[in-house]
Amino acid sequence: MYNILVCDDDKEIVNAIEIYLSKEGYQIFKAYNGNEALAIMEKTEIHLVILDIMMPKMDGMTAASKIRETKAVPIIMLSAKSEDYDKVAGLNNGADDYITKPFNPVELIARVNSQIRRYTSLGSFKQKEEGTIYQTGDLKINDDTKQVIVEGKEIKLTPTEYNILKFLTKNKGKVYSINQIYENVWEDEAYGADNIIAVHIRHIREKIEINPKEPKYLKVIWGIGYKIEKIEEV
Amino acid sequence: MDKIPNKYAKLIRIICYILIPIAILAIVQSIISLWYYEQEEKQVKASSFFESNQFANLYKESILNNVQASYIKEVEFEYPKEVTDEKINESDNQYTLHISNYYGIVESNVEGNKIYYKNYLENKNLKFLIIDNKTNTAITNMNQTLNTDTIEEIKKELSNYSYFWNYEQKNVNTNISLLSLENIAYESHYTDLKQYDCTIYTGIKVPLEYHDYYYNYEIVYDKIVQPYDNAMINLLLGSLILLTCMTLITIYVGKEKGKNEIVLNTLDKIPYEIVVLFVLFVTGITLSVIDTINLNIYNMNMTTAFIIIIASAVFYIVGMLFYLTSITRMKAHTLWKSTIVYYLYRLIKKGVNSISSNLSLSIKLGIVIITYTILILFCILLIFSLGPVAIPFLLGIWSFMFYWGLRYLKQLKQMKQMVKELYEGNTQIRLTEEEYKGDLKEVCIYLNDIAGGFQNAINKSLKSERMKTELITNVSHDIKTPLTSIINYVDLLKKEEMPNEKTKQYLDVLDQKSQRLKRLTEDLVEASKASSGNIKLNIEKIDIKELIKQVSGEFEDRLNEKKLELLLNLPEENAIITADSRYLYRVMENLYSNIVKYALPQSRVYVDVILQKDTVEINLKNISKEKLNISAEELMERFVRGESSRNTEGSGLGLSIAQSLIELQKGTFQIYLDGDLFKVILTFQRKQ
Repeated sequence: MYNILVCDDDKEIVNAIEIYLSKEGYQIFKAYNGNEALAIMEKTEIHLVILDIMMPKMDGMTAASKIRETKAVPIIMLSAKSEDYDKVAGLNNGADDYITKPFNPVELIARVNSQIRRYTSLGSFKQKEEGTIYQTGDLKINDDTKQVIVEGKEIKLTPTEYNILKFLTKNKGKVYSINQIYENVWEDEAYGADNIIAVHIRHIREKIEINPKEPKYLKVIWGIGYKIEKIEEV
Repeated sequence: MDKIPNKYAKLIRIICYILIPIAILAIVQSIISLWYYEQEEKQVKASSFFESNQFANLYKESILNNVQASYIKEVEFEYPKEVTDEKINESDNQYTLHISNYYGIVESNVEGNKIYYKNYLENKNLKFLIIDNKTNTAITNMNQTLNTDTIEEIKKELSNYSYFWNYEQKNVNTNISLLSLENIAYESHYTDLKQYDCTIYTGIKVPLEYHDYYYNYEIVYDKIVQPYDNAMINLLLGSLILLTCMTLITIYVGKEKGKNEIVLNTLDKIPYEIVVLFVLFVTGITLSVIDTINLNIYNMNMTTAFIIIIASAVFYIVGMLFYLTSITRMKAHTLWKSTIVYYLYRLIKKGVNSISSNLSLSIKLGIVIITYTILILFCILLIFSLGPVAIPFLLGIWSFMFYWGLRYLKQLKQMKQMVKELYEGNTQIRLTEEEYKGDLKEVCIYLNDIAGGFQNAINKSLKSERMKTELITNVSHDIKTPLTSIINYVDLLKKEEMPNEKTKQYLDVLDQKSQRLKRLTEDLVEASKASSGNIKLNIEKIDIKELIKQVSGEFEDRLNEKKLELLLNLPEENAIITADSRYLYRVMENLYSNIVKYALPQSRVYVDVILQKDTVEINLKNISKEKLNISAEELMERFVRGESSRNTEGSGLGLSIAQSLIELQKGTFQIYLDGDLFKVILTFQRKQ
């Protein structure tokens, strides 16, 4: 049983999140401004915080930095501010993830689960693994067992998708055009490849990413190619 | 830098005013001294006046004058009997002639001889005896009656004098080495003397008894010529002080404590010509006053000295004031402006301007042409009457006319350029009004006003556009929070058991509309940002071929759902452009989702990438499922969709956002409607 603190000045939103997350088996603590959130965190052990930014008394940014002074719990920012610089500011202020309002409940749950898994099973997974491992962040590919595990969850891929993902993960951080991927994965001339690779990439993204439109691992550089983001180990 | 010295400007000036006359006196004294010394060619340095050339020259002249005087006297001898001294004893013998007789002769003699007499009479220190051997007459200025015995006595006495010079039977006997026969044998004085058959005995007693030339010369020699060593030092020192003081005054004139600009006093405000005239007037007066007095520097009385001192002081003060006011005016750049000529010039110019501004252009042109014609005719007349001398005048007038016309044309060109730039949208451009004159200046002022007005209007509209974007962004934030609850609770409701089919349908409507509201708010913010250019672009090289493949891959499944067949027509070569890849994708995403939404199912969709020499063109063609009864222009306006009803999903902002984003990335966005054919053409600059 993990404890999640939900903090938003809009009570209905807090209640809705409570309903969704309770169904997933989490214990929910509710707060309506930054001060209340900090007070609760002093009394109770919290495993994840969902923080709104615009709140009375103490806003989410300040609350996040205060929490970070003492605790390493995951923080997910939840805000109506959807500009890039808002997201960057939130992540720089100690947030681990940033969700914009209005949010998709499914996405919220997925992100919460992911953060909880990361937070609680940190480091325990790595030692058990054997064989050839390609890894970036929480995306791991075991080439011996042909398993793909994202944030602790195994993902089913077709052989083609697996080969593409393995190639990109092996060369993480580098951008490959469609033709280059074709030549490297099929080991053949890229004749008539057109959009087959693009379709595969989209399928892989839909499988491994929580929000395929804002991918965390498999990124699209439009007009140039694709790459697997190089994420340093925590 | 000037601040601290300015504090002492007045003090420095006063010190300079005092030092300058002292320096001038020192310089004058040393120059006189040096000049005298230069006269002493033969001797390096005489130990006293009586050894100097000065003395020798004076002596020579005295002898000759005396000889000549004695002969001239003889010619006029008969004349002034009644003034003879009682000591004259005519009956005694022909030798008897007393010196005092000469006085009478001198004063009544003709003008031309006067000088000689005066000269020798004044030099009373020189005692002489001249015997005319032809007539056997003698003259002397020794106070003695002459007869044969006394002549011998005088001869003896004169030879005992400190300095003597005797001439007897063509032989010279002297103790003045500069006047010995070998030294003067070829001089004019001696050769003149030889004409007369005479015997001369002369001598000078030291110390001198009378105030004559010898006496004056001796004083000058002792006081001025002798201290030659000091003269050089005095000259150098005096010049140095004078130079320093003049420099300091030049620097500090017009400066006052605590003021940075040049301070003009009352004198500096008087017209310059008046000052010049005054200076000339005072100079003239002073010079004429000096001219009237008998200037004898060797023999000066108190009145003369006083007048000279006053005159020098007046010279100094007037000269200094003139210099100071000239320098001050130059430093304050008012020398030219303070003249009466300038004032008249201004007055005439003002008059001409006020007249010409009321005249029509044609009359002005007429006046100009007539003036030039008259001038040129005048020049031609001059050429005929004076010859080629007048050609420079003609050339001058022509070149002025040429310059004037050229300047006019140049300014016209500048104005044309400005209007052109203004037309092209450069509202920053301005003309320099000072460069223009008359009517052109007026035009120039109006043009600048127009440009300023344009710029203000643009700034205003940019500001209001920015405020609109801010407003929309803020409102959308406020909408998003309640919208979150609506979406979430609709979602929760959908998971609950519904009493009947109808409620389920109602819930679906709520779900759809809330989703649409969400997209609408997001698109609204984006549209306002894109249209106001309030977006930070990250421009990089992009391959259009790759982009089309990627986007097509993204939409493959959705196209397949509508049974749309996508036909890509990509060139062999790379199609490189520069753009922001994320925003370019946003455009392509909008266009593809429009195709998915509005294309006729089971039809074909064509995407062509066409390479031109300098451009890359992307054509997207599809068949619309609805009848398109509006124009392409209307279609691009915000909130307009292919069909007038608003039932389908989408905000109606897609094409507007796409167009704004493409234009921000320096591309063009065009839509063609041909029946049911819907065609979008994107054009970008091609890069290598």
